[in-house]
Amino acid sequence: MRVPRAIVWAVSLAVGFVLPLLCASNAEAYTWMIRHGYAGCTPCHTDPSGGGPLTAYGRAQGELLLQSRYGDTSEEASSLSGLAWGTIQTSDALRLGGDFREAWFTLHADGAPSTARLLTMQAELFGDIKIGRFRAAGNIGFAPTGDLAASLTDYPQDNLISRDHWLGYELDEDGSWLVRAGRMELPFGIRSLEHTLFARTLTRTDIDSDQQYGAALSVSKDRIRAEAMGIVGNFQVHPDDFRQRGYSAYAEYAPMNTLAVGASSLFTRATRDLVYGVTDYRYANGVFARYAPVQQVVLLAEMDSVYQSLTWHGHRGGYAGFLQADVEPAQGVHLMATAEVMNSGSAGEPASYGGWFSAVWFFWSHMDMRVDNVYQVIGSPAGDTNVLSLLLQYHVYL
Amino acid sequence: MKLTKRLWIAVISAGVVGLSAIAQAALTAPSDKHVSFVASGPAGMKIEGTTPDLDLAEQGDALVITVPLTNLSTGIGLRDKHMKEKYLEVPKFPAATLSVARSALKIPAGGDKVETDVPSTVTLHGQTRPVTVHYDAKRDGSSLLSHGTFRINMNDFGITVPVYLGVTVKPDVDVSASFRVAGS
Repeated sequence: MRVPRAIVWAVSLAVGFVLPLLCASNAEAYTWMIRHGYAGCTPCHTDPSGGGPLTAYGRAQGELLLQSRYGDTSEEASSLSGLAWGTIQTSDALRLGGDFREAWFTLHADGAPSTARLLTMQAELFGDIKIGRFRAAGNIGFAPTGDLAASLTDYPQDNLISRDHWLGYELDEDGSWLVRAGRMELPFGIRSLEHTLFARTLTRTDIDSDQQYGAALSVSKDRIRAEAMGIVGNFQVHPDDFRQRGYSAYAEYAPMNTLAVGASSLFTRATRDLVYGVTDYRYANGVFARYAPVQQVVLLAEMDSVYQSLTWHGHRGGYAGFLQADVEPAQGVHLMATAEVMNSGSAGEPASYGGWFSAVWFFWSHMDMRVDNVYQVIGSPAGDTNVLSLLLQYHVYL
Repeated sequence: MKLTKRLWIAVISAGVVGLSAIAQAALTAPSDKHVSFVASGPAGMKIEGTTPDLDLAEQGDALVITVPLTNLSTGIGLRDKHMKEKYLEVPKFPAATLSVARSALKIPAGGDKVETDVPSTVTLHGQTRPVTVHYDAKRDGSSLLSHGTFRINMNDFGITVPVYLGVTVKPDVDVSASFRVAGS
């Protein structure tokens, strides 16, 4: 008995958009830190566009601003904020870290059996070293499943992975300008933890395994943040036909410490696209914004248009976007609601919609728990399919 | 002839009294007060601090704006504590003042707006330094709205440049103040 096409379509899309939830995410970048006037990512992160190892300053903010604080606490950051709860001392030039994230994931799609599994989303170590103006950074991890695009080994599972590794040079004393070469996150849109949002998956700019090799120039100065990257491909994918070439860039302006608006642009060409298997020209352009009207509330929004030219499959123009509200009623407790929409532009494809209801609690030093309840209506020419997923996460970082 | 002369004296006297009244009326208690500063750190980091406290007074020929620093806040408790206790030493130097000669000020008439620079002196952290203030003022009904900006260097006022866990604040700080005063 043949499975109805609609079910195949819906499950495929659900797997395509939700399954990446099973995969690990890179070092965390909390874009809602704009609520504390941190419109830029430095000086807390070593990656100029967010993520990567934390600086000593960033570690202190993790305790002072991120986690719940109990009882009569000293206003100063404690030694627990340091690397491995202060047990490992390194010089200021060497920034090390590690992330471990375990999750329980359930998925239910119309007409398909429910699935539930325990999975290791993230298990990796990373570091950044600065000698004079020279910089070097990288990470290495273990992925029981997924993350094949970041794999260093070639097994169907249980692979060593490395998402980022690059060499860089700070062009000024201030560290405002940084030129880098290596494998890096693509500079595009809002670099948030929710890497399976439609906007991230349709533009292929998530922090999971969409990193590419290339050279990038970034600036974080005055009220401007920007980065432009020339993409030469993902050399962890073989053969060369599958590698994308092009560029990715964003620019953001913060007229106030609690408001930032930006725009992104991306173009890539692959001789054989990893998803479609044919020559693919992809263009993505979008706008995004972050705003904290009051300290307890942060609004994040992004809207992208994506245009693809696929050999033998014609052209398709689509879009994806989201609006997220993060409310922090008490320090360390986040309640989030996210609405998203997407249409990849395939012939006859109606829009897909999604709603996330999430809660995160940074309950103690270097630890947090998170629950994401995601409801999506995946549009297909044969009819919409409802997909409900639940993700419970425990995360600890060094 | 005598009557005309007396009439002229009366008119001129009334005008002088009226002008004095205008000048005196401008110094009522200010409202809609807002004082802020913006300091910079490495790689685009911005620190913004604000306080709603501002007083206005005449001292001889000068207009003196006093900003009590007790309620100055950057939004982060520990940073405020360091700023006020360690760097500004607010218990020792509880206020900052800006003094400007009244004769140097241009007051807008009618619906005009005045925008210009004026020399002044700032006293902060026990040190007094000359500063050029860029200000604008315009009438709003019976009120006068005023806004001014200037830049200081922490080193000039004996303020230790803040450093915290490898993050150094740059010594140049931009200050902005606005207020409304009632008067004709």
